Amino acid sequence: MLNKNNYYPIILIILILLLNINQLLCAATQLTVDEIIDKVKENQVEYTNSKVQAEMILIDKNNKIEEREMILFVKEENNLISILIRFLSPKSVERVTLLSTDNGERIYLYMPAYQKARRIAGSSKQENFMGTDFSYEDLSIDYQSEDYQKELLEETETQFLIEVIPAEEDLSYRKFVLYINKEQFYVEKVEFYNLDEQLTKTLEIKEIKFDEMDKIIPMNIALANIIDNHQTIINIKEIEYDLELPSDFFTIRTMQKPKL
Amino acid sequence: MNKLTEFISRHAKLIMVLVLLLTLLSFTQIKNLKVEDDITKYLAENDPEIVFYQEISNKFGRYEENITLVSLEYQDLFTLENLENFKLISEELEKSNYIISVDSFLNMPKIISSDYGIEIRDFVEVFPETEEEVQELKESALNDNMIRGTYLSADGQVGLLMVKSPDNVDSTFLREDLEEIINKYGNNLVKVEYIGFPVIDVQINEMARDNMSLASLATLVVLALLFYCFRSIPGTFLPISIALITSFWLLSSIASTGKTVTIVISAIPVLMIALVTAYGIHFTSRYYEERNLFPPQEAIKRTIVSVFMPILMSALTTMAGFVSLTTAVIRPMTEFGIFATIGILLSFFLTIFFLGAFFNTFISKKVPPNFSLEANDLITRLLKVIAQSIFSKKNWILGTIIIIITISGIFALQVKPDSSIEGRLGENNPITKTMDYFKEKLGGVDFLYIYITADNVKHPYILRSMDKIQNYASHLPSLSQPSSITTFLAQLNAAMENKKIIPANPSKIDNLWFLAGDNDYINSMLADENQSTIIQIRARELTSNALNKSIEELEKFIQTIPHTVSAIDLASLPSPEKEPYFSYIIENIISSWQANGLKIDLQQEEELQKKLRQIATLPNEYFYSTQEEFITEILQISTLELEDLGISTKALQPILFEYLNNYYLENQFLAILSQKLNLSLEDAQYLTEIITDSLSIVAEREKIRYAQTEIESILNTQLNEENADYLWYLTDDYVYVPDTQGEINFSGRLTGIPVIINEVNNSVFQGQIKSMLAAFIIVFILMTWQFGSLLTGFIAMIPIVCTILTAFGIMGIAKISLNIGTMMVASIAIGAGIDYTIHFINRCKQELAKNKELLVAIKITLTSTGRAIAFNSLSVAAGAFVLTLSEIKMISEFAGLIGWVMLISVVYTLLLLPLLLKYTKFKEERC
Repeated sequence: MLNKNNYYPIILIILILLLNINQLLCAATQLTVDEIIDKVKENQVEYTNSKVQAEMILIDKNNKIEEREMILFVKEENNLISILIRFLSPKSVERVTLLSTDNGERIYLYMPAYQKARRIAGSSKQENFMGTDFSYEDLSIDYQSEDYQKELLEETETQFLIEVIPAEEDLSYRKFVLYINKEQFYVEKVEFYNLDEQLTKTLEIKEIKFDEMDKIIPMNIALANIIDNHQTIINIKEIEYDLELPSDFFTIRTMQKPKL
Repeated sequence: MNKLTEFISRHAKLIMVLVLLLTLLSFTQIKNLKVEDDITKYLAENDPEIVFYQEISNKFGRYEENITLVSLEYQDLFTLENLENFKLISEELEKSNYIISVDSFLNMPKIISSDYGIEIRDFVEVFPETEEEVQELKESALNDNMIRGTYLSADGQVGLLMVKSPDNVDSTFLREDLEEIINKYGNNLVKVEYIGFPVIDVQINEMARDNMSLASLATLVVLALLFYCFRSIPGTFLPISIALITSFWLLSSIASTGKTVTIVISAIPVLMIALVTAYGIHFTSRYYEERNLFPPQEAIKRTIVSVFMPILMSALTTMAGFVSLTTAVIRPMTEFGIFATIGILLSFFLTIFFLGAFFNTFISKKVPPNFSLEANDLITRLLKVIAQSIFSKKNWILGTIIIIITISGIFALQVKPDSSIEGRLGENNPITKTMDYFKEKLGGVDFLYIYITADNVKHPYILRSMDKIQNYASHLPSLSQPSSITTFLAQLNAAMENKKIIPANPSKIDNLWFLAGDNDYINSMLADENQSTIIQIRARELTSNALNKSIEELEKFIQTIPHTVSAIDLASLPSPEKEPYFSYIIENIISSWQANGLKIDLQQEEELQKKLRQIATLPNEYFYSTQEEFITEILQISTLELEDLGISTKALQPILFEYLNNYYLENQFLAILSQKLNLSLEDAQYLTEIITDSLSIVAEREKIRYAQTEIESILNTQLNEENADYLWYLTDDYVYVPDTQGEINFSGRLTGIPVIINEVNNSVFQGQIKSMLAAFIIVFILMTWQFGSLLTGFIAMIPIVCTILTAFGIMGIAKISLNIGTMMVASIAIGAGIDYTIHFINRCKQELAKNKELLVAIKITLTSTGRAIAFNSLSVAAGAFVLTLSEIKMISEFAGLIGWVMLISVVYTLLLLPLLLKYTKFKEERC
């Protein structure tokens, strides 16, 4: 039931998707599903941690727009992702900081006016995460899992359409459909289908850039909740990889620091 | 007139066919007639209160037109089986095409907090799986102020579903769908009740149709009377056919425009039968009189010539009564007045043209002999007695009338307006009973709203003022369960820092908003880019003196709160400069207590101010303690940071004790921490900061506990939880000082159905006076014009004035309130009742013209025209009394009063008018 304006979970999910789904992707005509996914993986930047500065635009069902700026740190270690997000503007949310560790198992919120960090509890993996349309389980889905069944549904002039069926029985998604760019091998769009096979969410990468190693970096991401008619657009302004972060960076102490 | 009679004679068959065709056509349209009874549509669309209410409703999505409340009662809702059933029904309803959403206590927001964690989620996020879990849920739900008495009855048996449907949903389909789903799944239910605009709409339509169908019964009653009077088939059926045809035409023309009409319109068919039948009676009886003397064509001509003017006059005065209703700016009255006027006009033309054409087409061979004059029935015998004794018993008659009028006048003063739905529909109406059920179990169904506007309603000062207003409201009679964003924000603040208050620091509000901003309830309470919000208060009754007084007091209270203030940041001031501002904090605490119902006398107030000032100046250090509980509390609120640092509370506890026991300075504490816990300097510094912050928080808590004990000893009573929480204001870091030039300001205004009902009640009262005066003036002018004499015009009005006074007396005695139904009685009585006076005076004049003595003329009038008048009033009253069977109280009362008024009117006409005519030298004045 929490803030749709609290876009950190959305970013969390986007990042996971970018980290994982992009790695699924793949190759040219006549390629098998696995080959396509390998090709996408090849185009994915590999890193241990990253720092992203981004602008987030939230558009609600009444077309009300809210813009926020944030800085975000991500670390992946032993398949466990930790994320620290701090809002920079507007003033009303300045320095509000969220920390998620162990794939969202522990989430803390620091609100500067109160000076104390609080743990945000998630009662159920399948419940919505902090009032967003994303659930806690979204954070822990391993889209790369070899156990997931994948099938090439269609090949158009520009895209491969791959259906991914998760192996977990208790997952609240029946399937995902990935739209992979045939020319540049990256995931352009992901569709999320619930257990009734109803399309609930879509994620689209609308703009990309290539780094010096010709790896793909998504620069504009749009996430749409079909049910709530709510949209989140993320414009990445700056992205850095493999920073020298202290070992205790992803802790409550960091959240409380005035400057990161 | 000759041209008219010739026209009717020449086109008799065409007139008949046209009337029949139009009537057949009207049958096809009547089924489309849509009735609604929405109080917000009673006043003019541009009425300031209505405009304001609509604006607020649209802004905050509280357009109650789309909300249906469904109560599901179980033997005990809190068993696993019943709770699952409740959830299932809620889920199945949400699948309906006629429903957008279903809210219940299951998806109300709940804040769960501990000293280190916070969770905001649906009240029932994880559905209980065992009976024990169900009982835990029950306890939690019944202890939640946002749920108990609102979404859940206090006995835990009734759960409320708030069903939101799309705009313009077909109410009948919605109701059917609701019933179908609930009947299918609700095997465990003890009782189901539905309320809200969509379902009321269906019920009102059904009741209105029932009213209209009462017209059949009224027809039978009037038919019986007519048969008794005419003893002929055409004489029985023709007069009533005019009323029926008029009603069909009228209702079908309303239906064909696609307009909705209010419930009073449903009284039109019966009223037409009662009022309009008289025209047919006059026409038919006159025709039979003439037919006994002349051939058919001549008899028709003579009939039309002789009845045209009297019926026209009668129609004009009745129309005057109805037209006067349009002077009241209340929509149901205006539309009733307009449609009834059209109906009377139509019936006049139908009487002349249709009956004229009928007798032209179907020439009766057999005519009832000596139709009226020579009759010797009970009424005629009674009239003869009156004629014989009226002048000898004049003192007795006048005395009795004066007593009746005096008593009536006294009781008339007790008549009060009541436009509530209970007042309109009656205590025993199914809708009222359902409303009573909701009132008893779930605190009522209607809301009073306080609309708050400010540059930013999320400002702490505005929120605290709202908190004060809603607390004050909750202690007023007839009002309960106020809610606003403040309730939720105070709960969130409690979760964040254990203080269930609105924090004084604007940054904290910003932070809380970030945490709660996506909550649907919270979002629905804000509008205009955070510049407006509402406080929602349940009204136990929709109208009552108590409620009106509460509304008045609430308006006054809002004015007592400073509307413009300046903010002082205490944290930026050195200690000595802070002290002068403590008085504002203390004043805020005391006024918050008073608003929340705490009784404080002047002496106590002085003591409280003194004590609170003393406590406010005490530093936190004064409350440091080495007690185990104190230390444990510090460790508890540092749990997250300690976990982060990997330090156990067990290891830290003795160090903390040492620190507090020896009054160490912070740098000494830092050194001990570093040494005993083997921490780096950086870690030790961090831990010192954490512990000193926590220490300050716990000391603050001690200070407030101490304050509570001291205050309770002054007041000699224990503070309840809410009032104890206001002591947290002593820790405020911002103070708001009244300042006309201040940068923070707000305004508050009341609206809602109770306010509109109040407005309607005022309009009803004013409308009553206006319409009655208008009817009186129009009829007086008509009378003066007809009789060619101001004095006669004045005398003619006296019986009707007495009738109205008596009618109001009856209303006072029978405790009948003034509503849009009953307020029409006086105007209609003037318009319709005056007919008797006209007939009486006309006949009297005719007799005087024959050079008879006044007394003789009056006696003849009494036994001739008097009889016709008596039958006429009996037929009107009989028709009207049928409508007293209506399920709708205002229609039933309206009809009953009309019936009585017509009977009383005839009594005053036959007893008082002859005396007045005698005393006013009527003869000399000349007719």
